Amino acid sequence: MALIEVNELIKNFGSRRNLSTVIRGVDLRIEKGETVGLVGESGSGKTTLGRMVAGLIQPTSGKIFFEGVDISRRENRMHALGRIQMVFQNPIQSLNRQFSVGLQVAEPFRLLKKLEKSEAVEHARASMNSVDLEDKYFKRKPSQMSGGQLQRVAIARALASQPELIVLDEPTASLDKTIHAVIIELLLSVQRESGVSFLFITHDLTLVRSISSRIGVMYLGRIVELATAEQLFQNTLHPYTKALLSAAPKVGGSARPKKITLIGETPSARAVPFGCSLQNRCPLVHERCRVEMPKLIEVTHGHHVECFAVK
Amino acid sequence: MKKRPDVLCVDGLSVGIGDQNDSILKNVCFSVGEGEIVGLVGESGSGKTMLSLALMGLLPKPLQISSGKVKVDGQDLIIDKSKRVERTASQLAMVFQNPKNALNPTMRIGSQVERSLRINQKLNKKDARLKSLESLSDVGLPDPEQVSKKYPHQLSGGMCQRVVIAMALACRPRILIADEPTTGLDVTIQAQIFDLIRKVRDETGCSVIFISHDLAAISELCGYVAVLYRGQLMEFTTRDQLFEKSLHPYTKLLISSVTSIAKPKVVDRGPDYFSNGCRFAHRCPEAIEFCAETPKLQKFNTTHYVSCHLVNDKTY
Repeated sequence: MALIEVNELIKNFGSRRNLSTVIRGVDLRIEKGETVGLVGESGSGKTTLGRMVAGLIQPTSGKIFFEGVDISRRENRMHALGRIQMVFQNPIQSLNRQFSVGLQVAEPFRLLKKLEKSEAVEHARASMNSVDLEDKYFKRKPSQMSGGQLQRVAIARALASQPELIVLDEPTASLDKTIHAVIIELLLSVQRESGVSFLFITHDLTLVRSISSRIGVMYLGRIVELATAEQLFQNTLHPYTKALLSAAPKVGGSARPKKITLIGETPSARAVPFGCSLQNRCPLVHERCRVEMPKLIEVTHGHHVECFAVK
Repeated sequence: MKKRPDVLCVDGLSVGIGDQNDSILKNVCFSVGEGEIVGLVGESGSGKTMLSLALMGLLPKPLQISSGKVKVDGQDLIIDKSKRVERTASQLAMVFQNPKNALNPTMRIGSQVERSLRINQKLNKKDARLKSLESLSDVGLPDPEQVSKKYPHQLSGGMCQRVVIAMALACRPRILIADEPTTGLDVTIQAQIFDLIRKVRDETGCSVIFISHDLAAISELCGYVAVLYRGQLMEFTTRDQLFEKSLHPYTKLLISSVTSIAKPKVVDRGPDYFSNGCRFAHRCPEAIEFCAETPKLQKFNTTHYVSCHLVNDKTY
């Protein structure tokens, strides 16, 4: 049984008159101990999907199974309590600036593990040590620490309840490039020790390649390509993924391949075109893309693509 | 690559409050040829933005230019002892990092572009309107009539950035300074903005100074690259030479940190005060005693300048 299984997930925001469909039918599985990456541009719905998996928002329809129990139903929500955790993009905003960071890491031990305060503090110290923060940081306030250190506090806090899945929503986006590697190393070592699964949300393609076993590419609320990291980068199939990979700037001297540039911008989630969502920007568009909605089909083993032009 | 005639020439520019030793920019020298795109790369706090503000004459008080020359087409822009750059919109124009903040949220797009034309080029209302529509369509905005009636919040980030570029280009500047123009944008939109900058350069012949912390973006767009570290210019050369034959230890570190993510680098940034001598010395793996003296920017060939004691004619 998969750890997480998402079925036909749909999420609308807004009133009936002003409806935005942000997630338009997503299926996804995450196995135990696996890291699944989600990439996409802003507005593609990757954060919304992550928040639904973490139980922070209710889906409009569709099911989220956690070890076979549908946690999108209100009565089953307690089943996943403390077993799915989230690390947010901006650690300064996701931590309480009035409490010392140590007490914030101790909080889940007290509330979820029902420990006494002194015990919780002991555990929190150990937990902070495991993310390479020494005891001297325990009493610091968030304003006295750097962004990279705060993100490590946030990771320690997420690990406190010994979750089986951590949703990482752009955990390195607000940090300097030189600190990315430190956070990624830390996450990989945590995973080796505890066997936790990650849902890693990012827009950075090189980053996602270095941490994920499988990667889903999102565009306008749908996963348009889902494959192993190897397949996605070596044998890119969907025209959107191709454009995304080619648009990412690369370091190096002169000789560089011709760019595939998409025309225009991502349409608004309020006016999603009928048929394929990429139809107005796609270089391979033909009649069928405008009248029929493509489905995510498995092309080769483990490589799923949602495009009529791919056989 | 042959160097084209210089449009902008910055010579020994220092910016600070008074004392030479803790100046924010120290003795920065570089030049920008006609129709060239020069990249300015550095970590946060390296003085990239301060350099562009100094060139634009927008330094916040009490900062001032303590020494140096800024010349556009041979004309010195630091007049007398005013200690700031006096420039016109047809010499230097700037595109700021966050397009949403650079635009006035309470004014329609059209009137903001018109205003810049009326102030800088003294056009009347009607001419300014025609010219503004023209410059909006030049930057690839579909239906400029409609766009000019909108407010900034009704446009996407990519479109706002196009509007800001249109405003900067409306007065046909000799040099366009773009300060991290694509930092908040998606990669596909970033690729479109890069195409636009190249197109603008080809059509108007203006030079571009492109500021970024992203070495990949720089290598994508720029012919020349200047590497800044804590206010000192470390290396200035063509893109190809930078990646094939970088000489400065800092440049080497910078390039290796973006080409591979696997190995964690030393995060230590050293003391926050500026010491005498080479400002990279405390982090430099190859530092020698002599580094306590400030290195000079040395010229190795027509397109390669390095400021490091370890690099000399023999080792080059």
